[in-house]
Amino acid sequence: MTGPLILAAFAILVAAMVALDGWARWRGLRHLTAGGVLSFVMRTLVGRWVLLLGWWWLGWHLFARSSAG
Amino acid sequence: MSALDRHRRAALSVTALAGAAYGWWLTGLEPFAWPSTVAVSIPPVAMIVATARRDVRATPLRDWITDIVMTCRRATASTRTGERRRARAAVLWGIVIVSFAAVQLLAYFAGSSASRRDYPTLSWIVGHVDTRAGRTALFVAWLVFGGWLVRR
Repeated sequence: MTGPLILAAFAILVAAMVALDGWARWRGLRHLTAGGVLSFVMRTLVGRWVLLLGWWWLGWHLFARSSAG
Repeated sequence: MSALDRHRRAALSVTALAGAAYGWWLTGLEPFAWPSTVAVSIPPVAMIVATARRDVRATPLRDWITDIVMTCRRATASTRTGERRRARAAVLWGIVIVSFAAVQLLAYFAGSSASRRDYPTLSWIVGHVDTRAGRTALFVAWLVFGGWLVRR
């Protein structure tokens, strides 16, 4: 029962991100696009390293810990 | 198209092909073994080292937090409609990102590897891409995203 709810929550949040990004592009507000928000997080050294190490971890998690079926 | 554009496009095509070939090879490696761990780590290390010399002007954490607090204040208190709308959009981004992380953590800690169908995490969802071509495409997307991150 919780599975579909969690999937719906992910879908709604992804849709919200796409909508916010689209709205910011439409209004010409570059700092409010998905890229602009990530750039804002990367403005500090902590944010920069958290995102870079997070990206590295994600790659390891998705590609080194599982294989094609 | 200028010669520079042609060179840039050719370099981009070669890089994309090399990334895809590397991804194809990597997704065929045995999981949970050191060769796959090393192979996944090579692109991030190379990219981070290549860009580490760049002079990145970082904002002090305190200023960054002040920026967020001021944006939250503007979202409720600003009398200028445009400014208030922009601040609200920024706050909405924050809420969406925090909610996304919360749902992921909730699913991760509430479930176990045996009950992932009831508590799906992002990696469980992505794990359904189990063909080699699909995983190679995911790897290339991950690589492109990382390339974008290190150039910030």
